[in-house]
Amino acid sequence: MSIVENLVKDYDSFHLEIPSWEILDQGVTVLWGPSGAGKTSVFRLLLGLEEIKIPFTWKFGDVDLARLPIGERRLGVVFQSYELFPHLSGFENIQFAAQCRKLDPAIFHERYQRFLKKLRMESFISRPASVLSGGERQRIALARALIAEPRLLMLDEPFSALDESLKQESRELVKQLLMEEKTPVLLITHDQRDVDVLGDKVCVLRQGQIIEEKVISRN
Amino acid sequence: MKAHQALAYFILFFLLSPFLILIWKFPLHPHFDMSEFFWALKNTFIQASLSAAGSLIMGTWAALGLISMGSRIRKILEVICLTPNFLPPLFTLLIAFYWVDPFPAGVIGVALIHSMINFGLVGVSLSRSIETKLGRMADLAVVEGSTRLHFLKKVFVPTLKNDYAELFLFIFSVCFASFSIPLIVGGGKGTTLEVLVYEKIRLSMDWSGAVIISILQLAILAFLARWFVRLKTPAGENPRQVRWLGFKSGAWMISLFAILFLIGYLDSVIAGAQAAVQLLDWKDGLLKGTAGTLFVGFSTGGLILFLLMSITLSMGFPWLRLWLKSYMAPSTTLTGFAFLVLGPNEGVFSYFKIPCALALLFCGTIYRMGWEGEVQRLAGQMATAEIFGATPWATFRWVLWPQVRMRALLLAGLAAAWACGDFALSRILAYNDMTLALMTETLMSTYRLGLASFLSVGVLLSALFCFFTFWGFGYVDRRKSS
Repeated sequence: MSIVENLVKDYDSFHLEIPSWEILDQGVTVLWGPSGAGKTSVFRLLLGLEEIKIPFTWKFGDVDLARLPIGERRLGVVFQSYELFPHLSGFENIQFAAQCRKLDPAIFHERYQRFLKKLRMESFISRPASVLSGGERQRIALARALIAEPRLLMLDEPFSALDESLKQESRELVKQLLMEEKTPVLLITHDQRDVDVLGDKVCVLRQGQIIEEKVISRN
Repeated sequence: MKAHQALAYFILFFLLSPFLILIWKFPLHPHFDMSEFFWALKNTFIQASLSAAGSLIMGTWAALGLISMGSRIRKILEVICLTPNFLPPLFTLLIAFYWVDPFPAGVIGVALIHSMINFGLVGVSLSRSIETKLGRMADLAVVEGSTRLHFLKKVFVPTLKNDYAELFLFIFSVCFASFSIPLIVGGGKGTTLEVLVYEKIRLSMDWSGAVIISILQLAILAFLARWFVRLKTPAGENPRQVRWLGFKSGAWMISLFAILFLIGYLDSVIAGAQAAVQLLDWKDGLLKGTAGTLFVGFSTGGLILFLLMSITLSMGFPWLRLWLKSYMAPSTTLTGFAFLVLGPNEGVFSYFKIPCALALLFCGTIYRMGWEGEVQRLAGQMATAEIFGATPWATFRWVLWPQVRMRALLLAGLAAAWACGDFALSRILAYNDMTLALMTETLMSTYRLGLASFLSVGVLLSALFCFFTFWGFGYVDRRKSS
């Protein structure tokens, strides 16, 4: 279990205050809430992309992630817009993340081959990211985030940019992959269907505060 | 301190260095002649207002001419319109002197040159606003049988009044801080704040007074910039052609301007060529001047490239982003004198000081000319790279450089070309006529316009050489890495 404590920040439209919040160390923790509730702010604060006046703590085992520089937190991330490097191919995008984390080439090769098959990326992996479709980009982004075995995979509305018809297929694909990978996941979403398919624990955020936390039984 | 952080502080320190150097060297004292300041301020206001008004009037005519043309001719006319803005002001000065003889020195002369330089930019910008903001309304007006004049009166003016205010303020600010043109054509009666700072230091050695004037001038420019941000109009919709609204005479005016520009320059160059034998006495000086020009051009371009990359790599610091958004470059004279008092000025030192000072002056403009958008576009990717633990070098090598090299090198090339044509800042820092632009200015100030024009061809060729070298490097690097 990783625990976030004392996450406080003032914004123009709301006051974000999370005194204590537990993120599962297995399965998918969903931070769910309507638009403007502060989900993306929480996401960016946890990643370290926003400055904060009052320091918070994020205990992950013995480590306080909030005290580490961004690059040393060892988090995997898939943004809403995926943020692939458009000039690089799908393979190079994934390789970039592996090289940054100094992943052993043999391990990289083994994991890459696994993701390639699991996410059915063979047909487009060598094409530049700029020419890929939304669904293809999402799969590359997911493989890139997972390639170096992150502590936690963070997904910010990963299905929102997809067509309705692709969303369900994509959720199922992600679900299968995450079950095999055993990497804990923090999923930010406003879509109830994401919670239904993927969530193991749901935390409801409204006006900058978590008002409900519920573990979902999958039996 | 991490590399990103060190770069961010370096940029902050470098861009503020003229003030820091002068305040450190010459502590401010309270005795300050306010009447002189207000007199120069009045001149500056009149000059900048006339320049902005002239640019707007001519620019409106040009805009109506541009929208009346088909896309191919229009592109050519747009290039003509923007040429004086991208060429060093030296060329516009030479051509104006050729056609208007005797040239009216003072506020009117300065406003005339500023209008010649800026009307095209206004025209291009306004033509875009017309097509994006009035396109649909113009379609409706045609269907309903509105006349052109009726539409101009009832829709054009009320809809675009904020765009006019924005453009006026922009041109006003640019002319308010102009130095090279008031220096040459300002005359004694038209002393502007920039020239006053120059005179304070050069003639009366009143460094403290010069710094105070510069700070006040910067405060006024910062106020104008704030106002400009508030006025900033929202972008329009997709452009729609509204050719029926245009005036063909505007297009003729642009063409005539181009012909006069070209004839004036060529005739002046030919006249200069006939007397070029006089330049043989300067043979060594010319060789040194050419080498100096190329050195200044390439060094300035290189420094701009370094600054742009440093800024992009440091964008993770929100304070730097905010600061750069509102950053106003210090005045040309202040920057020149700050570098002048820093260390020795003989031998090779000037060759290093001039590019540094020019890069500092150009940095803000270049940043706003398209780099700010580039930085915003890449912000998400840079954050992603950082989350994955990429080092600044890896981010630069794999993420940043392949995506920005063409634009970065284009902007560096532009800065290099401007640097080749600079004579105003170089005049402060150079111990002799070290560059071709300085030699040209010397000839101009001694009324040898033909020779000045002839020599300016060297400036033009050097500028083009620098520009295309930077640009070409981008192509070569792209082809190599693909």
